[in-house]
Amino acid sequence: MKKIITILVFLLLTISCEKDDICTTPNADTAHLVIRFYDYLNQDTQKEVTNLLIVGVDNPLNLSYGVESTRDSIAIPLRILENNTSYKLIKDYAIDDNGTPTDTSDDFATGNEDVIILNYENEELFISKACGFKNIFNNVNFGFDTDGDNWILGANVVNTKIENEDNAHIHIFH
Amino acid sequence: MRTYIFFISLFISFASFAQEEVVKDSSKTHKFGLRVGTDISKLVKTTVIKDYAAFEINADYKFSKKYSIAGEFGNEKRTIDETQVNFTTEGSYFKIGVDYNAYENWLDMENAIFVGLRYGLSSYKHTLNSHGVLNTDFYWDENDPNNDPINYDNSTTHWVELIVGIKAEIFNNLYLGINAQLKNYVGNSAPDNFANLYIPGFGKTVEDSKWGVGFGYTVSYFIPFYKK
Repeated sequence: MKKIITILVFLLLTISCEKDDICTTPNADTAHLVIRFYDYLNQDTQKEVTNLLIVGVDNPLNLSYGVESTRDSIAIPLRILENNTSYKLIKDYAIDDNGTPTDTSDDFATGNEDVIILNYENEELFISKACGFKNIFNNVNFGFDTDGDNWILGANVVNTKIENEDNAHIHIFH
Repeated sequence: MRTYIFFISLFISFASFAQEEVVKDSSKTHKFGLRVGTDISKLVKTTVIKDYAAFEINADYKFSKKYSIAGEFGNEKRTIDETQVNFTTEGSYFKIGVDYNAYENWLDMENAIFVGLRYGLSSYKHTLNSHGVLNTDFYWDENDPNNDPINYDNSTTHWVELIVGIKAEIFNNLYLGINAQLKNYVGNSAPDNFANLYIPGFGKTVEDSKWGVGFGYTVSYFIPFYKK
């Protein structure tokens, strides 16, 4: 009996150590919106957008999100405190130095700017004590402004629920 | 003096693992009765720690030379602040079971080294005071914790508990005790979109585990009913 007690007391003292409270759950972070670009004429073929600059509309920090680069897919954050997010997607972005390479004051940006808008419903999902919650976007709706000079010709919402970044949520045809 | 004798005898008995069989004195008289007490660690923590309030009454009734019916009843309110969640849990619990006294008392003392089994039941609710929404992208500057409180529905947990401890008589019929508890829950109803991270009477829970541990420091008074 005494042996049992000794073993139990030892067991209790070892078990009472706490697990580290570090968030290690996969996909615990709020997901980005993943957009893939496809050829409008051949809608099964991916097609790169040349020199794409991404700028959030009404960004509180007044920052652009993406650098100019040529890419066939993008991952951009959606606002979690609002139920809509708008971005300017500027294709063929470039700086025109106005013929004066040394003077930057008269430089202007060129490119074809299309504005996309996403509407959705936010849902906070509990993950764990260490990770807290993540935001999930439900009933995602996609639209773009027609300005008479669109490079975006069509779009398809592949996944109306954004909870991870494993697959594209939206296909844009151009 | 009695405490002194008790601790000496404790040492002797622990030192003599080889001689398990202790000579029984059949002429020894036993006192039977009810021991009622409280967990003083909970009272101390209530006064010392902010956002903590707890009270527990414990009792055991000795019905044979070796066995007692034992139980605890209490309520607890505790606020826990983690990096991603700050919540308050409030509720009541009771535990009922049997204690086995493995200690051979000298003279007519009622000290105990006991092993016990309990069934525990706790009913409680959580309020989430603030929570973080994990968002590692800072582009929209929406990374502050959400401070809108959320009230969750009632939770219930029941568990089995192994308790080991000692109770030593420090004055006439007044006992001081210490115990350790190892628990494993058999039923746990988590609220929608949250988890039972703390359970009154059970303690903190660990992810992916049904185990819990607890410690108690008791002061109790023995009311003798009869001698045999």
